[in-house]
Amino acid sequence: MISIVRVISLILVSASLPSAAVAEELFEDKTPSQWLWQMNEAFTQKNYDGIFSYYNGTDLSTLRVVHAVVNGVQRERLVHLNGVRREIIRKGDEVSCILQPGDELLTLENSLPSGPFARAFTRNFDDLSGHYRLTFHGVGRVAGRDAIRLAINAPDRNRFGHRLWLDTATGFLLRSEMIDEHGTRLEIFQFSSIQLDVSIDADQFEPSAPHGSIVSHLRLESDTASVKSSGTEPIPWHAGWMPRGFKMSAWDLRQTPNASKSISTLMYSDGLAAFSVFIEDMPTQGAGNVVSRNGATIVVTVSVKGPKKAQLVTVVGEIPTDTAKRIARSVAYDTSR
Amino acid sequence: MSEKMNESLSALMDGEADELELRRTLNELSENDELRSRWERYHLISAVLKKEPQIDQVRIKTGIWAALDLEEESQSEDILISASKIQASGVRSWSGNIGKLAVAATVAIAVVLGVDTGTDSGLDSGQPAQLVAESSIVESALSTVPESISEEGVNSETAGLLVASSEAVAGNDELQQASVEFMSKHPTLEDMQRANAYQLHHAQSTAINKHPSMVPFVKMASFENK
Repeated sequence: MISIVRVISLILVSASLPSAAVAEELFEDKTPSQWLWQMNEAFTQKNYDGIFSYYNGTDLSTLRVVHAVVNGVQRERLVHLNGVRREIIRKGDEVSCILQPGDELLTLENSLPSGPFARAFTRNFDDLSGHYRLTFHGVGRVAGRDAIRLAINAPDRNRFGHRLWLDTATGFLLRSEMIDEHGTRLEIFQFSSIQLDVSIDADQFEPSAPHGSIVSHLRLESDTASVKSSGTEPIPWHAGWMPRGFKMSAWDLRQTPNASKSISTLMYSDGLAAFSVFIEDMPTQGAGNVVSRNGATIVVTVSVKGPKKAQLVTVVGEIPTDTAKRIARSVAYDTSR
Repeated sequence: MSEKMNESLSALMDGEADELELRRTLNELSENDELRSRWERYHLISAVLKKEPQIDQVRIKTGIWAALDLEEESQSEDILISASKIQASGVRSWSGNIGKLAVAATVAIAVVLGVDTGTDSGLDSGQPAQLVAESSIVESALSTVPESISEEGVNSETAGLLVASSEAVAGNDELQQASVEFMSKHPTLEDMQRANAYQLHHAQSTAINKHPSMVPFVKMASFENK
């Protein structure tokens, strides 16, 4: 019944709008889900060379991306075009991050104890379709290309929605937005130019960073290694409340080199949105309340009771402010251990 | 009502009032009933046009005042943080996990790369990611007035804006009441650095776990097909 209404309304609309006629054909051609599949195929399998911008609510970054599949192996290079030089080069699962000395990213990393982020639970997306709705959202045009628009709506106020613009011809993602419940855009990702299905020379994947750069090598986790059988004990902390559909996707306990400080990390996801919870002893000099929003990302710091002393709990994630506060307040020590 | 006040009111509605004008208009609003009812009508119209729920006028005003006052209080910290250059203290491999670029030379990675080190903006010299701490009330109140007010009028013009959250403003926030013993009113430089570090860590973990990138979209697609 709904689909009949939709078709009729499309016919009516298409009488006046030429673009809607295009949309109608597309609607009958593929479902929104099929469009998403095609989007991922295009991203991972095609050769492309483009410039995109990413706006996080306060800052606008512009990057070049070059991607090709060479002998079945994905090659990719991302270059930060504005500000400090940063490049990320990937060959299969091997990733090289090329940064300049003095880059804030290095400093930030140094301020936290390091360690691999163990994944303890398989991501479970079974419930995802239960709390997001995927629909067509008209047509548009991005980077000079016709696009079909998809809307991913959250049915409650505890998560954000998404809008996607996919290239009509290939399904390639041309633009995406994260929006809050009022429709305010929190983040925008958009190609300003893109060449698809072009041949790309191997030297396009060589770094252009100058001498003296700092290169660190990383390895991506493969999809199959979803459960890591490390000997680490589970973290005796949990979030007592979280929106329906969120599940723990990762956890980690790490210590600073002199073992003076340990930080427990929990990560939760509903398959689309994610938040991290960091738990540490309250610093001796105390700490200030932080409620900080940076585009879609919120940082909330609160104090909670621990088994021995007060703990500083920080929640970071792409979730609404009140949701993050409620989660932070609910963090509790697992007394059953 | 004076023509000038009417203009100020419009400017306020459109988010074009500067801070001085904003304060003057708010003062006038508190004393002038006609002006206040006009202001409320404007907002009602605006809310209806935008299909927003109706809003609590008193709270809006309180929120704006609170934001203005907070801004003054936090000026010193603001300057401190904006001016501070955090130098790399010894270079270590960037051991976070940037992960899964592939799938998506997209949003997740852009988050990581997009942590701004301030070279784009002379104003924003110290803060990798801009931090705007706010209380729930200030936030909800400001979100109901035209957006540009909060950007241009209420907030300072500096890029590294810092509005400290305050128990006075969010007095009904049980979380903060519960934490009074341990938590100070205003974030310190260390607090902001910690917040930034965690933000970066979250972005990296998210990228390697592929949560908000493209794969979940595809995962979702597969469930719809079942």
